[in-house]
Amino acid sequence: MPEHDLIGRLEAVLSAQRGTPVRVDSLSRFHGGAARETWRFVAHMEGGSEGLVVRRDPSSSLITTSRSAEYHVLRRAHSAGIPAPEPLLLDLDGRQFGSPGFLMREVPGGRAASPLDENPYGDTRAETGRGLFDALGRLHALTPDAADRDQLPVQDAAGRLAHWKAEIAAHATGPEPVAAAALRWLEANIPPASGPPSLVHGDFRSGNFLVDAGNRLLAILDWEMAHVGDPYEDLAWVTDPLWGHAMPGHPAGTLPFDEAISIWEAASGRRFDAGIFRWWQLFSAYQGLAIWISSSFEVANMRTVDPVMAFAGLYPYRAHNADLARLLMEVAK
Amino acid sequence: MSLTIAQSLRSLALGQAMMVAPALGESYEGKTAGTIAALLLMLADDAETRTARDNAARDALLALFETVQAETPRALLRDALADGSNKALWNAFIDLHAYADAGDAELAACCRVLLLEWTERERLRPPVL
Repeated sequence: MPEHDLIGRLEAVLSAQRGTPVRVDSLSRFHGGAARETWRFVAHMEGGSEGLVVRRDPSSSLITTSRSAEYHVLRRAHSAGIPAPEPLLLDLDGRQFGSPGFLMREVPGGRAASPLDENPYGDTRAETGRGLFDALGRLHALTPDAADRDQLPVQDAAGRLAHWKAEIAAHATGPEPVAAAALRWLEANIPPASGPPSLVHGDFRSGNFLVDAGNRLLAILDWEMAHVGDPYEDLAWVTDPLWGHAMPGHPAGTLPFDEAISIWEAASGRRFDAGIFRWWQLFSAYQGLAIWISSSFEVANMRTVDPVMAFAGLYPYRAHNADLARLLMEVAK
Repeated sequence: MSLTIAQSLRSLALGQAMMVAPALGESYEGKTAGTIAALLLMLADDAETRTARDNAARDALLALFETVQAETPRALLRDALADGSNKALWNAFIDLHAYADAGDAELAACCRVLLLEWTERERLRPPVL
Protein backbone atom coordinates (compact mmCIF):
# COMPACT_ATOMS: atom_id res chain seq x y z
CA MET A 1 0.00 0.00 0.00
CA PRO A 2 1.47 3.40 -0.92
CA GLU A 3 2.34 5.64 2.01
CA HIS A 4 -0.22 8.28 1.09
CA ASP A 5 -2.96 5.68 1.37
CA LEU A 6 -1.81 4.77 4.88
CA ILE A 7 -1.71 8.45 5.83
CA GLY A 8 -5.31 8.83 4.66
CA ARG A 9 -6.37 5.80 6.63
CA LEU A 10 -4.63 7.02 9.78
CA GLU A 11 -6.17 10.47 9.48
CA ALA A 12 -9.64 8.96 9.11
CA VAL A 13 -9.20 6.60 12.08
CA LEU A 14 -7.76 9.23 14.39
CA SER A 15 -10.25 11.94 13.40
CA ALA A 16 -13.11 9.56 14.22
CA GLN A 17 -11.50 8.45 17.47
CA ARG A 18 -10.62 11.94 18.70
CA GLY A 19 -13.77 13.63 17.39
CA THR A 20 -11.72 16.39 15.77
CA PRO A 21 -9.82 16.70 12.46
CA VAL A 22 -6.40 15.08 12.68
CA ARG A 23 -3.58 15.60 10.18
CA VAL A 24 -0.79 13.04 9.83
CA ASP A 25 2.75 13.63 8.62
CA SER A 26 6.34 12.40 9.08
CA LEU A 27 5.30 8.82 8.30
CA SER A 28 8.34 6.53 8.22
CA ARG A 29 8.75 2.79 8.42
CA PHE A 30 10.97 1.12 11.02
CA HIS A 31 13.68 -1.07 9.56
CA GLY A 32 14.04 -4.66 10.78
CA GLY A 33 11.21 -6.49 12.52
CA ALA A 34 10.34 -8.91 9.75
CA ALA A 35 7.30 -10.16 11.63
CA ARG A 36 5.26 -6.93 11.27
CA GLU A 37 5.20 -3.64 9.42
CA THR A 38 5.77 -0.88 11.96
CA TRP A 39 5.39 2.81 11.06
CA ARG A 40 5.93 5.91 13.17
CA PHE A 41 4.19 9.20 12.42
CA VAL A 42 3.10 12.46 13.98
CA ALA A 43 -0.59 13.26 14.46
CA HIS A 44 -1.52 16.95 14.58
CA MET A 45 -4.81 18.18 16.01
CA GLU A 46 -6.20 21.20 17.74
CA GLY A 47 -4.30 21.61 20.94
CA GLY A 48 -1.11 19.82 19.96
CA SER A 49 0.74 16.98 18.27
CA GLU A 50 1.73 13.50 19.34
CA GLY A 51 4.05 10.79 18.10
CA LEU A 52 2.28 7.50 17.36
CA VAL A 53 3.17 4.10 15.96
CA VAL A 54 1.03 1.74 13.89
CA ARG A 55 1.93 -1.91 13.70
CA ARG A 56 0.18 -4.12 11.20
CA ASP A 57 0.45 -7.41 9.34
CA PRO A 58 2.67 -7.52 6.25
CA SER A 59 1.96 -9.71 3.24
CA SER A 60 4.49 -12.24 4.53
CA SER A 61 5.91 -12.83 7.99
CA LEU A 62 8.38 -14.95 9.94
CA ILE A 63 5.59 -16.05 12.22
CA THR A 64 1.83 -16.22 12.26
CA THR A 65 0.38 -14.58 15.32
CA SER A 66 -2.75 -12.75 16.44
CA ARG A 67 -3.01 -8.96 16.63
CA SER A 68 -5.68 -9.18 19.34
CA ALA A 69 -3.37 -11.30 21.50
CA GLU A 70 -0.52 -8.85 21.05
CA TYR A 71 -2.76 -5.89 21.81
CA HIS A 72 -4.11 -7.61 24.90
CA VAL A 73 -0.70 -8.45 26.36
CA LEU A 74 0.68 -5.02 25.57
CA ARG A 75 -2.21 -3.42 27.47
CA ARG A 76 -1.74 -5.89 30.30
CA ALA A 77 2.00 -5.21 30.61
CA HIS A 78 1.65 -1.46 30.26
CA SER A 79 -1.05 -1.25 32.92
CA ALA A 80 1.09 -3.39 35.27
CA GLY A 81 3.89 -0.82 35.05
CA ILE A 82 6.19 -2.93 32.90
CA PRO A 83 7.98 -0.67 30.40
CA ALA A 84 6.00 -1.14 27.21
CA PRO A 85 4.35 1.21 24.68
CA GLU A 86 0.80 2.25 25.54
CA PRO A 87 -1.65 0.57 23.15
CA LEU A 88 -4.41 2.88 21.88
CA LEU A 89 -6.58 1.23 19.26
CA LEU A 90 -7.01 -2.25 17.77
CA ASP A 91 -8.11 -2.96 14.18
CA LEU A 92 -8.78 -6.68 14.07
CA ASP A 93 -10.09 -7.05 10.54
CA GLY A 94 -7.82 -4.53 8.80
CA ARG A 95 -10.64 -2.23 7.69
CA GLN A 96 -8.99 0.80 9.27
CA PHE A 97 -5.28 0.22 8.65
CA GLY A 98 -5.46 -1.84 5.45
CA SER A 99 -4.40 -5.02 7.27
CA PRO A 100 -4.96 -6.15 10.89
CA GLY A 101 -2.96 -4.10 13.34
CA PHE A 102 -3.01 -1.66 16.20
CA LEU A 103 -1.99 1.82 17.20
CA MET A 104 0.26 2.70 20.13
CA ARG A 105 1.94 5.74 21.58
CA GLU A 106 5.52 6.28 20.41
CA VAL A 107 8.25 5.90 23.02
CA PRO A 108 10.38 8.94 22.17
CA GLY A 109 14.15 8.96 22.19
CA GLY A 110 14.59 5.20 22.14
CA ARG A 111 17.13 3.09 20.29
CA ALA A 112 17.07 -0.66 19.62
CA ALA A 113 20.33 -2.54 19.07
CA SER A 114 20.98 -4.70 16.04
CA PRO A 115 21.90 -8.28 16.95
CA LEU A 116 25.13 -7.74 15.00
CA ASP A 117 26.21 -4.67 16.98
CA GLU A 118 29.33 -5.08 19.10
CA ASN A 119 28.87 -4.02 22.73
CA PRO A 120 25.77 -1.93 21.90
CA TYR A 121 25.19 -0.78 25.49
CA GLY A 122 28.79 0.33 26.07
CA ASP A 123 30.18 1.01 29.52
CA THR A 124 26.66 1.29 30.94
CA ARG A 125 25.66 -2.21 29.87
CA ALA A 126 25.24 -3.35 33.48
CA GLU A 127 22.61 -0.66 33.96
CA THR A 128 20.84 -1.88 30.80
CA GLY A 129 20.94 -5.44 32.11
CA ARG A 130 19.58 -4.53 35.54
CA GLY A 131 16.58 -2.83 33.95
CA LEU A 132 16.09 -5.63 31.48
CA PHE A 133 16.15 -8.57 33.89
CA ASP A 134 14.12 -6.68 36.46
CA ALA A 135 11.42 -5.99 33.83
CA LEU A 136 11.46 -9.64 32.78
CA GLY A 137 11.12 -10.76 36.38
CA ARG A 138 8.22 -8.40 36.96
CA LEU A 139 6.47 -9.76 33.88
CA HIS A 140 6.93 -13.28 35.19
CA ALA A 141 5.58 -12.27 38.60
CA LEU A 142 2.18 -11.49 37.07
CA THR A 143 -0.33 -14.27 37.56
CA PRO A 144 -2.19 -14.99 34.30
CA ASP A 145 -5.87 -14.16 34.77
CA ALA A 146 -8.99 -15.37 32.94
CA ALA A 147 -8.64 -12.70 30.24
CA ASP A 148 -5.02 -13.71 29.61
CA ARG A 149 -6.02 -17.33 29.24
CA ASP A 150 -8.86 -16.36 26.95
CA GLN A 151 -6.78 -14.07 24.71
CA LEU A 152 -3.41 -15.81 24.64
CA PRO A 153 -2.26 -19.30 23.65
CA VAL A 154 -1.69 -21.46 26.74
CA GLN A 155 1.19 -23.87 26.14
CA ASP A 156 3.43 -25.88 28.43
CA ALA A 157 6.86 -27.19 27.41
CA ALA A 158 5.42 -30.11 25.44
CA GLY A 159 2.95 -27.82 23.71
CA ARG A 160 5.63 -25.33 22.73
CA LEU A 161 7.81 -28.11 21.37
CA ALA A 162 4.91 -29.55 19.36
CA HIS A 163 4.24 -26.09 17.93
CA TRP A 164 7.75 -25.63 16.56
CA LYS A 165 8.02 -29.25 15.46
CA ALA A 166 4.97 -28.66 13.26
CA GLU A 167 6.47 -25.44 11.89
CA ILE A 168 9.65 -27.25 10.85
CA ALA A 169 7.67 -30.10 9.32
CA ALA A 170 5.62 -27.61 7.31
CA HIS A 171 8.48 -25.42 6.12
CA ALA A 172 11.72 -27.43 5.86
CA THR A 173 12.91 -27.40 2.26
CA GLY A 174 15.65 -29.98 2.78
CA PRO A 175 17.10 -32.38 5.36
CA GLU A 176 17.50 -30.86 8.85
CA PRO A 177 19.83 -33.30 10.66
CA VAL A 178 20.49 -31.06 13.69
CA ALA A 179 16.82 -30.25 14.22
CA ALA A 180 15.93 -33.93 13.94
CA ALA A 181 18.51 -34.93 16.55
CA ALA A 182 17.52 -32.10 18.87
CA LEU A 183 13.85 -33.00 18.62
CA ARG A 184 14.59 -36.57 19.72
CA TRP A 185 16.43 -35.29 22.80
CA LEU A 186 13.85 -32.64 23.63
CA GLU A 187 10.92 -35.06 23.32
CA ALA A 188 12.69 -37.62 25.49
CA ASN A 189 13.57 -35.10 28.21
CA ILE A 190 10.56 -32.80 28.65
CA PRO A 191 11.03 -31.16 32.05
CA PRO A 192 8.47 -30.45 34.75
CA ALA A 193 7.09 -26.91 34.91
CA SER A 194 9.60 -24.59 36.57
CA GLY A 195 6.76 -23.16 38.65
CA PRO A 196 3.28 -21.73 38.14
CA PRO A 197 2.56 -20.59 34.57
CA SER A 198 3.31 -16.97 33.75
CA LEU A 199 2.88 -14.48 30.97
CA VAL A 200 5.68 -15.21 28.51
CA HIS A 201 6.81 -12.46 26.13
CA GLY A 202 7.97 -15.05 23.59
CA ASP A 203 10.63 -12.94 21.82
CA PHE A 204 12.41 -11.27 24.73
CA ARG A 205 15.90 -10.42 23.49
CA SER A 206 18.36 -7.70 22.62
CA GLY A 207 16.95 -5.80 19.66
CA ASN A 208 13.40 -6.03 20.94
CA PHE A 209 13.73 -3.32 23.56
CA LEU A 210 14.48 0.39 23.48
CA VAL A 211 17.12 2.14 25.56
CA ASP A 212 17.63 5.85 26.10
CA ALA A 213 20.83 7.82 25.45
CA GLY A 214 22.26 6.51 28.73
CA ASN A 215 21.36 2.90 27.75
CA ARG A 216 18.64 2.68 30.40
CA LEU A 217 15.68 0.48 29.48
CA LEU A 218 12.76 2.46 28.04
CA ALA A 219 10.35 -0.10 26.62
CA ILE A 220 9.95 -3.77 25.74
CA LEU A 221 8.66 -4.19 22.18
CA ASP A 222 7.36 -6.89 19.84
CA TRP A 223 4.90 -8.83 21.97
CA GLU A 224 3.38 -10.78 19.08
CA MET A 225 4.60 -14.17 20.31
CA ALA A 226 3.28 -13.71 23.87
CA HIS A 227 1.52 -16.61 25.51
CA VAL A 228 0.86 -18.21 28.88
CA GLY A 229 3.56 -20.75 29.61
CA ASP A 230 6.84 -21.40 31.36
CA PRO A 231 8.89 -18.26 32.11
CA TYR A 232 12.11 -20.20 31.49
CA GLU A 233 11.32 -19.88 27.79
CA ASP A 234 11.98 -16.12 27.97
CA LEU A 235 15.00 -16.67 30.19
CA ALA A 236 16.54 -19.10 27.71
CA TRP A 237 15.79 -16.91 24.69
CA VAL A 238 17.23 -13.71 26.18
CA THR A 239 20.38 -15.57 27.25
CA ASP A 240 20.76 -17.35 23.88
CA PRO A 241 24.23 -16.65 22.40
CA LEU A 242 22.63 -15.37 19.17
CA TRP A 243 21.43 -12.28 21.04
CA GLY A 244 24.59 -11.92 23.14
CA HIS A 245 26.53 -9.52 20.89
CA ALA A 246 29.51 -11.90 20.88
CA MET A 247 29.96 -11.40 24.64
CA PRO A 248 29.86 -14.96 26.03
CA GLY A 249 28.54 -15.19 29.57
CA HIS A 250 26.87 -11.77 29.31
CA PRO A 251 23.22 -12.30 28.27
CA ALA A 252 22.02 -9.71 25.76
CA GLY A 253 25.49 -8.15 25.96
CA THR A 254 24.76 -6.78 29.42
CA LEU A 255 25.44 -8.37 32.81
CA PRO A 256 27.29 -11.53 33.84
CA PHE A 257 24.85 -14.46 33.67
CA ASP A 258 24.66 -15.12 37.43
CA GLU A 259 23.95 -11.49 38.20
CA ALA A 260 21.21 -11.36 35.56
CA ILE A 261 19.58 -14.46 37.02
CA SER A 262 19.74 -13.04 40.57
CA ILE A 263 17.94 -9.89 39.45
CA TRP A 264 15.31 -11.97 37.65
CA GLU A 265 14.82 -14.17 40.74
CA ALA A 266 14.36 -11.16 43.00
CA ALA A 267 11.86 -9.49 40.68
CA SER A 268 9.89 -12.62 39.77
CA GLY A 269 9.85 -14.34 43.15
CA ARG A 270 10.86 -17.52 41.32
CA ARG A 271 13.89 -19.78 41.75
CA PHE A 272 16.38 -20.70 39.05
CA ASP A 273 16.82 -24.43 38.37
CA ALA A 274 19.83 -25.17 36.16
CA GLY A 275 18.54 -28.63 35.20
CA ILE A 276 15.23 -27.36 33.89
CA PHE A 277 16.94 -24.39 32.27
CA ARG A 278 19.17 -26.76 30.27
CA TRP A 279 16.13 -28.16 28.46
CA TRP A 280 14.91 -24.66 27.68
CA GLN A 281 18.35 -23.72 26.28
CA LEU A 282 18.07 -26.51 23.73
CA PHE A 283 14.46 -25.61 23.11
CA SER A 284 15.51 -22.02 22.48
CA ALA A 285 17.95 -22.96 19.73
CA TYR A 286 15.38 -25.40 18.27
CA GLN A 287 12.75 -22.66 18.27
CA GLY A 288 15.23 -20.37 16.55
CA LEU A 289 15.85 -22.97 13.86
CA ALA A 290 12.12 -23.32 13.31
CA ILE A 291 11.73 -19.57 12.85
CA TRP A 292 14.66 -19.33 10.44
CA ILE A 293 13.49 -22.37 8.49
CA SER A 294 10.09 -20.72 8.10
CA SER A 295 11.83 -17.59 6.92
CA SER A 296 13.80 -19.56 4.33
CA PHE A 297 10.56 -21.11 3.13
CA GLU A 298 9.01 -17.69 2.55
CA VAL A 299 12.07 -16.47 0.65
CA ALA A 300 12.51 -19.67 -1.38
CA ASN A 301 8.88 -19.49 -2.46
CA MET A 302 9.14 -15.78 -3.37
CA ARG A 303 6.49 -14.83 -0.84
CA THR A 304 8.71 -11.99 0.37
CA VAL A 305 11.61 -9.96 -0.93
CA ASP A 306 12.42 -8.38 2.44
CA PRO A 307 16.20 -8.88 2.81
CA VAL A 308 15.74 -9.27 6.58
CA MET A 309 13.94 -12.52 5.81
CA ALA A 310 16.80 -13.68 3.56
CA PHE A 311 19.28 -12.76 6.28
CA ALA A 312 17.23 -14.76 8.80
CA GLY A 313 17.50 -17.83 6.61
CA LEU A 314 21.29 -17.54 6.54
CA TYR A 315 23.19 -16.09 9.50
CA PRO A 316 20.95 -16.95 12.50
CA TYR A 317 19.93 -20.26 10.91
CA ARG A 318 23.52 -21.45 10.72
CA ALA A 319 24.37 -19.98 14.13
CA HIS A 320 21.54 -21.88 15.80
CA ASN A 321 22.41 -25.05 13.90
CA ALA A 322 25.95 -24.87 15.31
CA ASP A 323 24.80 -23.88 18.81
CA LEU A 324 22.32 -26.75 18.89
CA ALA A 325 24.97 -29.23 17.72
CA ARG A 326 27.23 -28.02 20.56
CA LEU A 327 24.43 -28.31 23.12
CA LEU A 328 23.70 -31.86 21.94
CA MET A 329 27.33 -32.73 22.64
CA GLU A 330 27.10 -31.21 26.11
CA VAL A 331 23.93 -33.00 27.19
CA ALA A 332 25.36 -36.31 25.98
CA LYS A 333 28.28 -36.08 28.41
CA MET B 1 38.64 -15.89 -17.05
CA SER B 2 35.26 -14.72 -15.88
CA LEU B 3 34.79 -13.10 -12.50
CA THR B 4 34.08 -15.64 -9.79
CA ILE B 5 30.77 -15.61 -7.93
CA ALA B 6 32.60 -14.37 -4.81
CA GLN B 7 34.32 -11.53 -6.67
CA SER B 8 31.04 -10.49 -8.29
CA LEU B 9 29.11 -10.52 -5.02
CA ARG B 10 31.81 -8.52 -3.24
CA SER B 11 31.82 -5.88 -5.98
CA LEU B 12 28.01 -5.66 -5.90
CA ALA B 13 28.09 -5.33 -2.11
CA LEU B 14 30.49 -2.40 -2.23
CA GLY B 15 28.55 -0.74 -5.05
CA GLN B 16 25.36 -1.08 -3.05
CA ALA B 17 27.04 0.23 0.10
CA MET B 18 28.87 3.14 -1.51
CA MET B 19 26.49 4.23 -4.28
CA VAL B 20 22.93 3.20 -3.41
CA ALA B 21 22.61 3.21 0.37
CA PRO B 22 24.08 6.70 0.97
CA ALA B 23 21.71 8.24 -1.55
CA LEU B 24 18.74 6.84 0.38
CA GLY B 25 20.00 7.99 3.79
CA GLU B 26 18.46 6.85 7.05
CA SER B 27 15.10 5.98 5.48
CA TYR B 28 13.61 2.47 5.51
CA GLU B 29 14.77 2.13 1.91
CA GLY B 30 18.29 3.29 2.82
CA LYS B 31 18.60 0.83 5.67
CA THR B 32 17.21 -1.92 3.46
CA ALA B 33 19.86 -1.09 0.85
CA GLY B 34 22.48 -1.38 3.60
CA THR B 35 21.10 -4.77 4.64
CA ILE B 36 21.30 -5.98 1.05
CA ALA B 37 24.92 -4.80 0.83
CA ALA B 38 25.80 -6.64 4.03
CA LEU B 39 24.07 -9.77 2.78
CA LEU B 40 25.96 -9.66 -0.50
CA LEU B 41 29.24 -9.37 1.36
CA MET B 42 28.35 -12.30 3.61
CA LEU B 43 27.37 -14.39 0.58
CA ALA B 44 30.67 -13.49 -1.13
CA ASP B 45 32.60 -14.90 1.83
CA ASP B 46 30.36 -17.97 1.81
CA ALA B 47 30.76 -18.54 -1.93
CA GLU B 48 34.53 -18.55 -1.66
CA THR B 49 34.58 -21.72 0.45
CA ARG B 50 31.28 -23.33 -0.61
CA THR B 51 32.72 -26.10 -2.77
CA ALA B 52 35.40 -27.04 -0.23
CA ARG B 53 32.82 -27.20 2.57
CA ASP B 54 30.39 -29.27 0.50
CA ASN B 55 33.18 -31.71 -0.32
CA ALA B 56 34.24 -31.89 3.33
CA ALA B 57 30.68 -32.64 4.42
CA ARG B 58 30.28 -35.31 1.78
CA ASP B 59 33.60 -36.92 2.68
CA ALA B 60 32.66 -36.93 6.36
CA LEU B 61 29.30 -38.55 5.68
CA LEU B 62 30.81 -41.24 3.46
CA ALA B 63 33.60 -41.93 5.95
CA LEU B 64 31.05 -42.34 8.74
CA PHE B 65 28.89 -44.61 6.59
CA GLU B 66 31.91 -46.81 5.87
CA THR B 67 32.35 -47.50 9.57
CA VAL B 68 28.83 -48.90 9.83
CA GLN B 69 28.96 -52.68 9.68
CA ALA B 70 25.76 -53.97 11.28
CA GLU B 71 23.09 -55.07 8.81
CA THR B 72 20.21 -52.93 10.15
CA PRO B 73 21.94 -49.56 9.74
CA ARG B 74 23.65 -50.67 6.53
CA ALA B 75 20.19 -51.20 5.08
CA LEU B 76 19.34 -47.60 5.99
CA LEU B 77 22.24 -46.37 3.88
CA ARG B 78 21.98 -48.61 0.82
CA ASP B 79 19.54 -46.52 -1.23
CA ALA B 80 21.26 -43.27 -0.35
CA LEU B 81 24.65 -44.56 -1.40
CA ALA B 82 23.16 -45.73 -4.68
CA ASP B 83 21.50 -42.34 -5.19
CA GLY B 84 24.64 -40.44 -4.26
CA SER B 85 23.07 -36.98 -3.98
CA ASN B 86 23.87 -34.79 -0.97
CA LYS B 87 20.18 -34.68 -0.06
CA ALA B 88 19.96 -38.49 -0.06
CA LEU B 89 23.14 -38.76 2.03
CA TRP B 90 21.85 -36.30 4.65
CA ASN B 91 18.48 -38.02 4.83
CA ALA B 92 20.28 -41.32 5.35
CA PHE B 93 22.38 -39.68 8.07
CA ILE B 94 19.20 -38.56 9.86
CA ASP B 95 17.94 -42.17 9.84
CA LEU B 96 21.32 -43.47 10.95
CA HIS B 97 21.57 -40.98 13.82
CA ALA B 98 18.05 -41.91 15.00
CA TYR B 99 19.04 -45.57 14.92
CA ALA B 100 22.24 -44.82 16.87
CA ASP B 101 20.45 -42.70 19.49
CA ALA B 102 18.14 -45.67 20.13
CA GLY B 103 20.92 -48.07 21.09
CA ASP B 104 24.40 -47.55 19.67
CA ALA B 105 26.12 -45.00 21.91
CA GLU B 106 29.43 -45.13 20.04
CA LEU B 107 27.83 -44.47 16.67
CA ALA B 108 25.63 -41.77 18.19
CA ALA B 109 28.73 -39.99 19.50
CA CYS B 110 30.28 -40.11 16.01
CA CYS B 111 27.10 -38.63 14.55
CA ARG B 112 27.18 -35.75 17.05
CA VAL B 113 30.81 -35.02 16.23
CA LEU B 114 30.00 -34.96 12.53
CA LEU B 115 27.17 -32.51 13.15
CA LEU B 116 29.29 -30.25 15.30
CA GLU B 117 32.16 -30.12 12.82
CA TRP B 118 29.83 -29.58 9.87
CA THR B 119 27.80 -26.80 11.52
CA GLU B 120 30.92 -25.01 12.74
CA ARG B 121 32.31 -25.01 9.20
CA GLU B 122 29.01 -23.60 7.97
CA ARG B 123 28.80 -20.82 10.56
CA LEU B 124 28.79 -17.42 8.87
CA ARG B 125 30.84 -14.45 10.00
CA PRO B 126 28.81 -11.33 10.77
CA PRO B 127 28.94 -9.04 7.75
CA VAL B 128 30.90 -5.85 8.35
CA LEU B 129 30.87 -3.01 5.83
